[in-house]
Amino acid sequence: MRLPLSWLTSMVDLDLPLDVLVERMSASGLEVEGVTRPGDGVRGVRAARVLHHEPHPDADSLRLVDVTGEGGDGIVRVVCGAANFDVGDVVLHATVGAELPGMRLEARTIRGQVSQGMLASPRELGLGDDHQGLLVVGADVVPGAQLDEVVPLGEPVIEIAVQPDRGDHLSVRGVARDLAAVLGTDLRPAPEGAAAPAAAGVPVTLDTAGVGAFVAWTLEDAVPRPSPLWVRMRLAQCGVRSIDSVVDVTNLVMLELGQPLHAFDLDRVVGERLTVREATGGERLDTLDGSERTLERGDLVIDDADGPASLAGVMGGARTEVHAGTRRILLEGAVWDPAAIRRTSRRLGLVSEASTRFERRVDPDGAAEAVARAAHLLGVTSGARATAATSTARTEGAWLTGGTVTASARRIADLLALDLPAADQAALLERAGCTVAVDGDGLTVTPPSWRGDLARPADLAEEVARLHGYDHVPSELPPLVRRGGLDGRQRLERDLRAAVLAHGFDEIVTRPFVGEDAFAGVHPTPGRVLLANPLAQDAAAMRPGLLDGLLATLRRNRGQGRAGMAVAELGRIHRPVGDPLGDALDAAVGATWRWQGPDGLPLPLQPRTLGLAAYGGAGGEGWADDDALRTVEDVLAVCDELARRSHLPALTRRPVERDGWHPGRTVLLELDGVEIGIAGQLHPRTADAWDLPERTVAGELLLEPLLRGPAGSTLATAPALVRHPAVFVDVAVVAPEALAVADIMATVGEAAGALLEDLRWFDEFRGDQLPDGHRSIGLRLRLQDPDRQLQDADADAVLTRIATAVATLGASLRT
Amino acid sequence: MDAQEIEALRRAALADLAAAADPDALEQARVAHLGRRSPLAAAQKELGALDADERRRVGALLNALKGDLTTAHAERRDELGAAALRERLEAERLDLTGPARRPRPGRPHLLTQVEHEIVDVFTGLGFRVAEGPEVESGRYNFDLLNIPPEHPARGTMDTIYVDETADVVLRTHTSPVQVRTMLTQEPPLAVVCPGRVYRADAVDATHSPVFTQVEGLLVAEGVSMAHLRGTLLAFARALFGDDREVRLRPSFFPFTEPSAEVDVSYASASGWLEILGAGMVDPAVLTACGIDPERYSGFAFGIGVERVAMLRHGVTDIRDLYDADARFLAAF
Repeated sequence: MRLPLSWLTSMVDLDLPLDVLVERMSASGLEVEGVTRPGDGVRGVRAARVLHHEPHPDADSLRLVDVTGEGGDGIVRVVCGAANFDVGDVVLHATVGAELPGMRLEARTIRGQVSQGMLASPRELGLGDDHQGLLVVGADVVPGAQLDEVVPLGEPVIEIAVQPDRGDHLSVRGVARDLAAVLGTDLRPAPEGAAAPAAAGVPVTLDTAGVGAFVAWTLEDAVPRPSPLWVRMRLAQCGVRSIDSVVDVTNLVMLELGQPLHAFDLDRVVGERLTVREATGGERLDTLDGSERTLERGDLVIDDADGPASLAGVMGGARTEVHAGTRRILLEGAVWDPAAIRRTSRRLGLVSEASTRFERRVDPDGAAEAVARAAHLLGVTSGARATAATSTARTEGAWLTGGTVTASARRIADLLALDLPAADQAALLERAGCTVAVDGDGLTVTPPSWRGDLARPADLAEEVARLHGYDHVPSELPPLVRRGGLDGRQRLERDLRAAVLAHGFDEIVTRPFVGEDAFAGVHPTPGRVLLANPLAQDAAAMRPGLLDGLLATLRRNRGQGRAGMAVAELGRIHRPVGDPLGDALDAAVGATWRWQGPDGLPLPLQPRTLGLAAYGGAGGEGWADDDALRTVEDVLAVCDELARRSHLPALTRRPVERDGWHPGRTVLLELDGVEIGIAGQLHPRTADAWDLPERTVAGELLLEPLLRGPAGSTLATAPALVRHPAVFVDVAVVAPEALAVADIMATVGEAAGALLEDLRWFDEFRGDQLPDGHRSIGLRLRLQDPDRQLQDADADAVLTRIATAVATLGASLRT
Repeated sequence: MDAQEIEALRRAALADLAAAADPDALEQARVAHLGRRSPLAAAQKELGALDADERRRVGALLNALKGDLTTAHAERRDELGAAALRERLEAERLDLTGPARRPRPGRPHLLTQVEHEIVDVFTGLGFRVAEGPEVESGRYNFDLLNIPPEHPARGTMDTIYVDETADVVLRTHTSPVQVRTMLTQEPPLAVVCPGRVYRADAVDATHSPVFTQVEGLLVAEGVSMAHLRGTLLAFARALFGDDREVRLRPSFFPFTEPSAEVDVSYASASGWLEILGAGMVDPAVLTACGIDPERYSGFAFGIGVERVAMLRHGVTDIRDLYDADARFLAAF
């Protein structure tokens, strides 16, 4: 809402410098967004009458115009690009030496013709947005007058952000009234209005409780014409376009008093009677903006005898619109149910100055005053004469009733931590226009009709605090109500993140939207959580996995010539409710990771997940080693460590062939046989398609099984540290290529039994000495017994058991 | 052997030992002067032929000589060893002024760092951490927070929907986590709710369709607006410095009454900077979430992690937080 300062001061005593006023407003819920000065910098512009015009001899779109300020100051020729005027009109002439924002006028030759200054458009003068035509003024301005003698251009206009519950701030008087309450000053008397005619006006039937007051005056002898300059200035200052003297008055009064008004051409109101009702659905109505609207059940509509004539509270109808030939006006001021207007406005995507106000609740008692004020101004600007009046109302709407509110002054004071006795609170509320009865601790408060937001004790508390000043609320830490802190699972999550980073992966955060295709990691699926109103085609769904965001990050950075990068993201992935991923997670951890809405409504799956991706860059900062590449091992090392920190058994690795992944360098990570992760190298074609080097590696790990595993709820226990010397035994297992190291190590470890303290793979060998298709795996065992020193015989016994065990795998020990 | 001869032996042997330039030469000198066939060894063998007094006198001199030569040999051996080691170590010299040729540990994202810092302030004040889903029901995201179905914030201009019919949305704030907490726990309760939230805003320098919030909620008996202010003052001082003040300005949120915009003192034109919204929990919200507003009161606040991160670290384009440029990641 834009508030011209002089308009405000015409309604309330304000004796504050502008910056102090702005500060006080912002501290009181009238948040100032800015101060502008429309028309600032305009000097030396006068009114001048057009005496003659002719086409420019060398330019089709220009005219040569002769104007005079009259009073014997001669005739001046100006070159002009506009055509919205004729001989006899009075226009605004920026003479040679005049100033407009950003320019100083001189005599200038345009296509061979000298122009003595220019004729100004509304926008050039800060008197509107129109830049196509000239500002043609009415009879209120005599030729020769200096513009700044007629209207005070360049005065401050304060723009405020209006809170949704403060519809009363959508008018100059409403803000003036609130400022009077905030500053403790006086509101000036209401602006002049016409006396209501005694004669009965057009019959109005109210067939819905969606309307409150409905006031309709009949005005005769109106002549729509250009508005006086002061009206145009006010409208321009408030950002409203000038139409004609009739429509402008309805807008001016809306800005002044907050009550939207509508002027019908009474001669076009069929049957000269109105009915207000709820639409049944399917009715059609051409609105003032030139659109045909189809009504739905629940829209509020005003009918004449021919059907819908106006979309109540939102926009008038074209059929009954005021036009240049209008002489009889039906001036309507009504108050509508905010919720109904909000629904209609939202459904039609049609937001008007009127709907904006009705949505936020218009003072139900203000319609008659606004109509009287507008009738008075229509008399001044358009020669109209009020001849008859209709005033009717429905009173059932819950939105109408302010009603009384009872509250405990003690409780308000406690809530605000302010030492304010009941009498002080009552005095503050009375400043806001409330009627207050104090009975001991009890406050019985009747808010004024324009304050629909004061309906409950909490609302009164806010008003008391606001008018007393939020600054007076003291500062005090609350007592500890409970022990705070992270729980075990939250600590574990931080610990897992730290472990990921320790492996050299930088954490990233990406926007979790994907398009049609998304690179699939764990549990690939075509299922997507689609967005009903996506922001872009390539962001039409929530990510089903993290790898898209990670690979896009690598691509972007590689595009800048970065030789290597390792990144990790910890975040939620999204799958539809029935996605197989859900069954897998249920099998791994039970259903506790799922989220539900009210009444057990299952929400899409959104498990916490880790994604990893890397290429090159294993050489360290500041060291360009083209051969130091990240490998799948870098990804596996992270996943293994996370499982360890979560006190889970080691994740088993199962080689897998999946779309997009290298068929020989990719494994699933399984927990008790359930796939919870994947790690591998990209398929060369995939890497190429992403503009990434062939040796790009990635992995994805569902974190819910880790976070919900034993580490989140139980403590690690200390191992016994055996002090007897250890015995080391190396074995070489000759095994067919297809036999996995994991299986060999598991078998060897199991065979070694209780003495085994550590088992490491230290060698891999292929050669002629070995049978075809075989390799030799060197393993080092560290054996220890807590109770005694081991002898050679112990090691021999272990070796014998290992030889027997690996034989069952089809392998043997090399001696 | 008389004293003079012994002294001559000593001089010759010490000269040889000192002259040995490497371990081999030293060993030759040792064998020559201390070995079994050395003059010293021979002289010692001959002692038996002397009378007792003479044997004692000469024996003592020979023993002293042997001790001196042994010491001299050991010193020379140590000298040569030290020199050899010095030579080897010199040959092993590395230029350690260069880069460390190992990947550095990764770094947490700036948003994670700031989120954790904020959360840690509140856990220090007795808050716990609550979490909830990002795809959320409209009932928890809106209805129970006093935001009715026709409210403009529920329009598709503001809210990203997953399913308009079933009213499933990308949560627009972490307030639904507050709702879930109130629905499942009895007061007193104090929680902060960190997490990603979504709005239907196109990506530009100051808008992001996804951003991060830490909301807070405290509900107990006797909670006042002074407690809200004190809590937020503690937060502002922890994040921005101990000399900061906070200012509350009247505002409107559907879920709080009274409501406030909260400014922190800052080196800006007005001296203040808006950092968050807060208020006393609206009694209608308490009632909707099964808490008796006659007995309990509470406050709530919502902090934008991006805003705090950008202010504190001079980030001027919100896209930098989500575009994962390596240079940006390495800066924090």
